[in-house]
Amino acid sequence: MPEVKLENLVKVYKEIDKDTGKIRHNAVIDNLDMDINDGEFITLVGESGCGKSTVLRLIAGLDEPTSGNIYIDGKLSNSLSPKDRDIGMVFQSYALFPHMTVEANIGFGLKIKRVPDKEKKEKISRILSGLRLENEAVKMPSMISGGQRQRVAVGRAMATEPDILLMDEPLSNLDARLRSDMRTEFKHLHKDQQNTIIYVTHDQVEAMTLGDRMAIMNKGIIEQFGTSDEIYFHPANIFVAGFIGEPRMNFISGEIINEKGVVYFSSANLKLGLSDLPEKKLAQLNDFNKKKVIMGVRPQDIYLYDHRKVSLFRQNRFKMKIDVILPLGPRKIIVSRLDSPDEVDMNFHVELDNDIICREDELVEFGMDLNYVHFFDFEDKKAIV
Amino acid sequence: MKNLFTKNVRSINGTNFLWLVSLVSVLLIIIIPLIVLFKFSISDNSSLFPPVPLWPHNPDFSQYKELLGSKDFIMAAFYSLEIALLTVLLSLITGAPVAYVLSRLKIPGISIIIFFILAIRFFPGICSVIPVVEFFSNPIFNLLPVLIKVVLAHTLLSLPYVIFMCQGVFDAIPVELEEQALILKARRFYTFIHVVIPIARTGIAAAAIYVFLLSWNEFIFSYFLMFQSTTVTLPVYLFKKIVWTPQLNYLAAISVCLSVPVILFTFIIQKQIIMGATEGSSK
Amino acid sequence: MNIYKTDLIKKLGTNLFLIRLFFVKHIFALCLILPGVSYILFFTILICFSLINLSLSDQVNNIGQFTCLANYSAIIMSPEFRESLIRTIAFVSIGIPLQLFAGLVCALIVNREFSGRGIVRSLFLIPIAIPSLVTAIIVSKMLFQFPGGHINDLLMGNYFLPAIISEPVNWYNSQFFSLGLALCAKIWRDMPISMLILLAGLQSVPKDHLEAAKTMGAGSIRTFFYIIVPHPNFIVAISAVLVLRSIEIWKAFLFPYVIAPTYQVLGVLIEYLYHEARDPGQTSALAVILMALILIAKVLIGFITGRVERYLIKV
Repeated sequence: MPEVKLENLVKVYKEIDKDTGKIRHNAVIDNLDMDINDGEFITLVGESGCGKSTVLRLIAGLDEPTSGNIYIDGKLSNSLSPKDRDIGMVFQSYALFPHMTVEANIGFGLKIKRVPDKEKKEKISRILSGLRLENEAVKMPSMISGGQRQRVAVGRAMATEPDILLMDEPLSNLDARLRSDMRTEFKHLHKDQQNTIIYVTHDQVEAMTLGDRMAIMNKGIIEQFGTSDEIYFHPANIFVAGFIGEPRMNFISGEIINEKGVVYFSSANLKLGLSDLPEKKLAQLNDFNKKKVIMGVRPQDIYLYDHRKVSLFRQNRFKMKIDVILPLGPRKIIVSRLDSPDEVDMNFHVELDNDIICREDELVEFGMDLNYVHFFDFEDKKAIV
Repeated sequence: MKNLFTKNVRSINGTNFLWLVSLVSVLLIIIIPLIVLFKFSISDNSSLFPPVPLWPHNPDFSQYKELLGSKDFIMAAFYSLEIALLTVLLSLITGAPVAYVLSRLKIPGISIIIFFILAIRFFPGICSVIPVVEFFSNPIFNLLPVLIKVVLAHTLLSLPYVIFMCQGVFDAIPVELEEQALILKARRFYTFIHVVIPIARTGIAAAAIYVFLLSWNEFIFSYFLMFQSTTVTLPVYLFKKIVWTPQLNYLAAISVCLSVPVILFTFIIQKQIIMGATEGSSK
Repeated sequence: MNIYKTDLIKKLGTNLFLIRLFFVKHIFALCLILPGVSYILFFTILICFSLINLSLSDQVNNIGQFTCLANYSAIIMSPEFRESLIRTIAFVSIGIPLQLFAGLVCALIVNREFSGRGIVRSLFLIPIAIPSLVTAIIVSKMLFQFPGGHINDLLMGNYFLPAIISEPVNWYNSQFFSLGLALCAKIWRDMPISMLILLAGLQSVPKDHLEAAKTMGAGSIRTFFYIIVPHPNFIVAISAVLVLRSIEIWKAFLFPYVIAPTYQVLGVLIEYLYHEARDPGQTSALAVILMALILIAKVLIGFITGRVERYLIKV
């Protein structure tokens, strides 16, 4: 039985249009379905304004859905007050009560639950030591560091031992170093407690590393929901493909052409023979004969042809002029310009090992592994599997 | 350092000179009346007649001594204090919750409520005082003690300020705190008392001081409501003194006693005074 | 037609349902808001209603009898009204520019960065901390007393300046002097408020605009007139001062009442009609007239500043 189930969820906010002064309906969440299993660590990722925090607020009960249903533990809980749901929440701003000590903050939920004093004290001290906050117990939130505040917020949410823990970008206010430490800590925490965690973030690395499954959201809908491997290697559409991965996947629009039984991908910049592809995929692409498609390839899956020892088919190669080179320590990113104007992104990125020698303004030959090339329908932007 | 130096050299020019002159003259215009007031309050009787000396012949504090011995003055001071404190209490109890709702609940039509709250401030005091006085002199409300009438009137005057100041205070408290409390299963009322109020404490205190000053200084409503009453507030007491015995040093001493708490409090809540003064300027 | 009707009923039904839902959901909020808002609303309505009610009825002989506009015509016909109206208009039309000027000077002084700026600003706030009555007493009984008073003594050469006049001036025998003094006292006390609004306006002009002007070689005076004055934020501040402060000067009661009681302005006339003539009907009529005048003035000023604003934006 799924622990949290969202069914046709819609949330519409009324907004007053600044130009016309009329009330406008803005669908933040548009018909969203999601099943979250007991004990799963789910991450919701998307750009700001995509509705990911709203999903969290709906699950928490801070907002009510316009339509659709929310089941928690099999129980319909659309208009249940937050205090009647067994949840804990960590806010982006931590929302620590500034007038209470760290100890009192963590004990707030227990105090309301009327947990006996002795038990409460034990629990607080256990949480404090678990989060390495023993020395901060009687300090005010304003006196401790950002990382410590973050831990207090987590401790406070955990103190009442909720079944579901909601986290709204809990690491976005920390610096890079602390963030990676805390990521590991969250992973440990989930391993120990085994409670359901729903975690909202805009950082794809966080989403991929933390979640058992991740959902990619865009404009109020879930574009893809699956494990990080599924999403990275089999993106369902252009949005997902472009969202996950750094640098961004390269997109080149072109046509599928069948010349005497040989299938080509042809665009203004390059012509690529596809006979190397697995049979099934080739057959599917054949259906798109003379139709527009978008090819996507990750910068990591392209290499300089001369440096590959394995012999490859000739058709997988293409020539391009290097525009600029961005060194990144062990790796470097080569940027070329695509000259056709109708591309999604004019820059074409290739990521190479730093020891590969190449110069700016040089014309080089690239090759790519067709197993990692993705094709998308030009019309509905969905992946052609 | 070098920068500072060149700046100083360049600074001796026309505009800067003009600026300095106007700074000094404005300061003089502001300060001289206060010094004159203080001078009169410590003057002996011989220094009151023309030509009035710039500094009294025999400065003493006898006027203050006499004031503190005067039963009327003490009564008026306590009356003022009582009215101001009751006004603070009443306007906070009624105004702060309104401010809280206005700050938290974004419901359509709330701007109409705000409009009405603002509207009352645009009635000239001298115009709105008459209906209020007539209202309080009808047979039912006439039975109320004058004190209560004045408190009610002052509350009416101060409510808009309380609401706007407290709304600013509540706006500054993140909603997340309350949502967090709600998730931790606290009731709304519990949250209001144990989370919102303690955080808003200093801001509300400032609003309280503002209201206190407003009531302490208020003249028109007190004057009309206490026209025939024997116990009066300090400003009305002072006014009656002008009419009867203009013994200047005594008058000055009362004035000083009336002003000193106001000046002190004003410095304490400067920030909120600025807020109150500029409030409505963007509307 | 029928379809329309059922549709309407359905719509009404859902609306009613929504309204009920709204009340149930926000019952806590309504409980909180009710005492304060109903208190204000009650008195607002009471003031409007009873002013109009009183002004339309006889309050001297046949108390409560409806007299239509008799009170108004009596007021408008009376010479006192006409005199005090002229005085008030003069009061306002001289007072507004003065008020703006005083506020602007102070705001410009404090707008500059210098050591001790915080203290100076605090000192500039002092006038609002002095109760109006005390200010009126300082002006009328101490500085401009007759006979005696420091200003008379100063002019007669009793201090460090040579004598300019030989006889003390009786300020209160002259309409010009007594009303002028009342106006000065009013402006002195309200100066900080104008200053604060204008200061906020000055500081809302983005710094980079000013710096850009400086790099183009504009001096502080030219920067002020070409960059700050036409800036929309500053114009908003100026029109706020004009509107809010002009209402204040129309409303002026205490200063003219204490300093220039013989030369009544409208506010003082109201007090006189109520306490001396004991005619609440005429008093209310006058109050309504005063409020109407304020409203007209407000609309007029709003119209003019709006025009100026539009003109400046065009330029």
